[in-house]
Amino acid sequence: MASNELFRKTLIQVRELLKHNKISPEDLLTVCQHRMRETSALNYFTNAVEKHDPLINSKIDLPLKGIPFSVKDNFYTEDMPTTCASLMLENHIPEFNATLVEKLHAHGGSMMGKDNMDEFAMGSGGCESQFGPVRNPWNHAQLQEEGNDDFYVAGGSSGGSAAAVAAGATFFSIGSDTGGSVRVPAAFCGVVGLKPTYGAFSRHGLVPLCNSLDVPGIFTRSVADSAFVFNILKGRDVNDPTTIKQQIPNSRVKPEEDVKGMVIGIPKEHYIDGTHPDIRAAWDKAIQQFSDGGATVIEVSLPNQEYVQPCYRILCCSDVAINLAKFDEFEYGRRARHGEFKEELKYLSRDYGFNEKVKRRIAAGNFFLLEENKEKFINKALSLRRMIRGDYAKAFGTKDSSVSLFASTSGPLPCDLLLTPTTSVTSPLHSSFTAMADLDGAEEQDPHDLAGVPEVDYHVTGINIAGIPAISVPVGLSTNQHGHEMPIGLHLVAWEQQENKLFRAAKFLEQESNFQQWVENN
Amino acid sequence: MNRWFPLIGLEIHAQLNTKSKLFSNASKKFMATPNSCVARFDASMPGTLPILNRKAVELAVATSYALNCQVALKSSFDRKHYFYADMPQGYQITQQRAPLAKHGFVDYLSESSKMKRVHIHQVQLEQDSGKSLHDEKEGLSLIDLNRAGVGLVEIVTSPDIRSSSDACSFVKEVMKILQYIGSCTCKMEEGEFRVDANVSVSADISVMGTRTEIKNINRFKGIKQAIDYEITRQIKILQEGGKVVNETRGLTNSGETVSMREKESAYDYRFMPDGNLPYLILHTNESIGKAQHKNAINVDEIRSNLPTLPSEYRRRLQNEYPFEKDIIDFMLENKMAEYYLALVAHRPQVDRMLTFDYIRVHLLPYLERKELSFDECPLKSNDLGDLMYMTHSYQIDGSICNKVYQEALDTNKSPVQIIKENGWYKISDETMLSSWLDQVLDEVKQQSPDLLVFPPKRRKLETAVKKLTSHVIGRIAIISDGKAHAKLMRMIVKKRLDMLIDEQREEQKSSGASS
Repeated sequence: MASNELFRKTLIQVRELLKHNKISPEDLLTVCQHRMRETSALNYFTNAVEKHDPLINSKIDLPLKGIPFSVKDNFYTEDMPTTCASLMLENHIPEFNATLVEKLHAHGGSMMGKDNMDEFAMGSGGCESQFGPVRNPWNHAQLQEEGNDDFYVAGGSSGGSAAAVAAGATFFSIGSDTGGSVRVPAAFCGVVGLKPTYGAFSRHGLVPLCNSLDVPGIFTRSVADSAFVFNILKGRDVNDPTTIKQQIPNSRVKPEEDVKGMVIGIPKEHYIDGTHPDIRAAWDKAIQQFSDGGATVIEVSLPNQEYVQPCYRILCCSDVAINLAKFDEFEYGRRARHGEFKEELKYLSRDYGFNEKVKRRIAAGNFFLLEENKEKFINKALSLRRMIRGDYAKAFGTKDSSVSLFASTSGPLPCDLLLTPTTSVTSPLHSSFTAMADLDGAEEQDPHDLAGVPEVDYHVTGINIAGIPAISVPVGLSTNQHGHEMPIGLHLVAWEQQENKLFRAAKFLEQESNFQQWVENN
Repeated sequence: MNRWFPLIGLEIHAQLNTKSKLFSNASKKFMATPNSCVARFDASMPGTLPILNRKAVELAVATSYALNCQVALKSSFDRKHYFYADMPQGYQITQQRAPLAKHGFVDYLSESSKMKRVHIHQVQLEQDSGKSLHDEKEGLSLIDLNRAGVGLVEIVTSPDIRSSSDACSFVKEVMKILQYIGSCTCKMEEGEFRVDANVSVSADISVMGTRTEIKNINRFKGIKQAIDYEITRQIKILQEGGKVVNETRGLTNSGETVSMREKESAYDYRFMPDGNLPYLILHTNESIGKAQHKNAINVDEIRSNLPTLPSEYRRRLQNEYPFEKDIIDFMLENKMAEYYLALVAHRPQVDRMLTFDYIRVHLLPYLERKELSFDECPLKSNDLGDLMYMTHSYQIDGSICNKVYQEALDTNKSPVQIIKENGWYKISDETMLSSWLDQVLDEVKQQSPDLLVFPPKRRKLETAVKKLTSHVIGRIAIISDGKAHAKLMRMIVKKRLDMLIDEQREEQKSSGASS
């Protein structure tokens, strides 16, 4: 089988081929390694794996036997650098594997490399890495041919993970999602990105950004692949007290899914100015498809949506300030060459080791945490968090004990799922993203920086605050002003631990949109 | 001259008596090789998460109930930030917003034997810090993380205490409570139990003065020293018209307090909920069925299994016998109350003081030597009770008692069995003993009646009585086949001879008068 066909296949498809001995694990490895070299300009790996486990030829039938994957560089990998794409950790080699990495190895997966990312997972473009920005595979060759050194951003912070799967170097990858960091790059790179329920996946061995929001996520080329990997990774971990204690049922995706009887909510706050008309059209089309498929589509309201970003910024920056305190070159991190006294060394090391964005968030976090600011920021953010979660609970008609104050029993029809776009724009060129993110530069005037980059993270961040699952599914293409076709992602949201509903509806969208077919043919 | 009223509140940090640390499986050992008891989490390795130690929670819950607190079924953990090298995370995990327990009290006996009460403001779980050692010579700072992350209960009192001696009595009572329920061994010399004292003085009893906090008092004598020094220092400042500064102070080896840093004004702990730890949910008998996992903790169960507390033993001992405070304190400190009370319950006839003394002089040193608790004592309380009873009721000779005690310890046989096997039972029935005495006196009367004439003709009275007594007792021993209880017999003989002497003296008096 020709390699240029093989790397476009989905995980489920190559599993079938492996199972029926149509290909061998070595073939698959060779194809992916070849593809990796071919697309190395995309800069999706910080470190590639040199030596592969000879076990891929073992007789034992393992669910992921011989399947190449990659892991974001903020997951601990034994004896292999884990840098968080920061100078601070450029030589940091952990002594143990993250639980998820361990699970993937145990299931026979074959790790290809560590995915490039925004430094310490702070960013939405995949551009703020000490290894240089990740490049979106979409139209990369065309731009090069046109002699343009610009490129489309992969999205962030798990940009490398999305690009590696989109480029065909791996069949799935693991990222982390704190405020949209899996779903945004998935939408930008035209792959499926799953952020499961908080606690469905272990965070043990994941270098934290914001402990109460961080969730590992999955990039795949199809919804069925996503469900397949989800079933392998989910479950309680004794090393992570925040993992869900109850058994999480397996999710199954049928070859053909229908949505009869489902209630799909369209949150009205998600109709925002600046949404690209093609994305708006794709959203409307999907609504029609659901409706035609026998689902009831209703409008719902998430009244506290406007507070999502401020709430997120305060919680996230505060945790950042704390979680990065240990990178002071005494406990962890690289030591500056100069500096005689402890405080001076610490200052120089941290000044050198962190990028501007990280430093700004640390400063903001320490500001929010001041006792005099407690009422104004932290305590407000904590109550906003309950209110935002309450909005979702109400939309899903759930009686949630932690938000009982807000969940009303006599609301509108309880939804099974919510549907929005993942991002309001398709992936921008690096040059324009930098300009857009320079709104981020507004941080310099406004030290609180509570806005974020609305075009990119407006739809996705509330999900992390509510702790519920969501998936981004590529549904079509949009031709931009440069004449390039870029993928559009739609965003499905479910109540906690209802990933099965998510997969069912996502599969439906996938089959209706024919996006995968299109990729395979091009 | 003004009168000054001191007001004292304490914060007690007690290391929980668990095998491993509060959030990691590293072991908790005193004086272990530096950095040999450090799990990845204790070294704050990125990506590692805290796993709450179930045993630590159980001990903290037991502690809270023993301090008469209300235990919260839902509590949470916060991060308290400070940047010391021996705190690698950059924060300590503690319970600031929603502590484990609140609103308790401890009743204690003051030095003047008055019962007094201290209110417990709250009880919380938290981590201990590591240790920094400074090598001045080499110019190095060394860090030992063995203690980092060891579980503590912090017990915060209301400012209810008025003197250093009350503070000491209260701390002693708390130590006893923790030791009785086994939540902390309270060895201050090993750093397991440390006290912070908040001290203020005021000229007006109803107003609280500005307080200072003396941190980390790690020797028992230091509590009194620190508080007394601080009261004197503050009164002096106030008398001179100065103002006490709200600050943190340390205690020097010579018992003085010195300023460490100004407190509230300068330091901000920037508390924040810990996102890595879910709420600590505890269950009751009613809710335990609905618990989602098998490790769920039932507080009702802990409460009902709480061992008897020192205050209860004190009450029972006082009801039992009017012991002095010192004796009761001694019994409580040496944890012999339960053994003692079980013994007297089994044999109410024993002599209380003699029994206490016997345990203090014989059994306690033995147990200390063998490093055993009274629970583990090979001589059960019932058995020692039997032995004491038989001794005090003259069923065996006093001289035999120690022999039986020793053999019981050595052979694990019961004293009753040992006495039976050796035929050490003595006859203590007074009628029996008297009839033997009658018999011997009859013999003497017939064989050498002179001996019964008082005052004797050739000897001094004492010598004659002594000689006669030993003769009589010797004869009774033969007649009774050694079964007569020696001490009791001696008493009866003495009484009878005294009677004889008195009778004869009366006779002589009256005959002398008549002649």
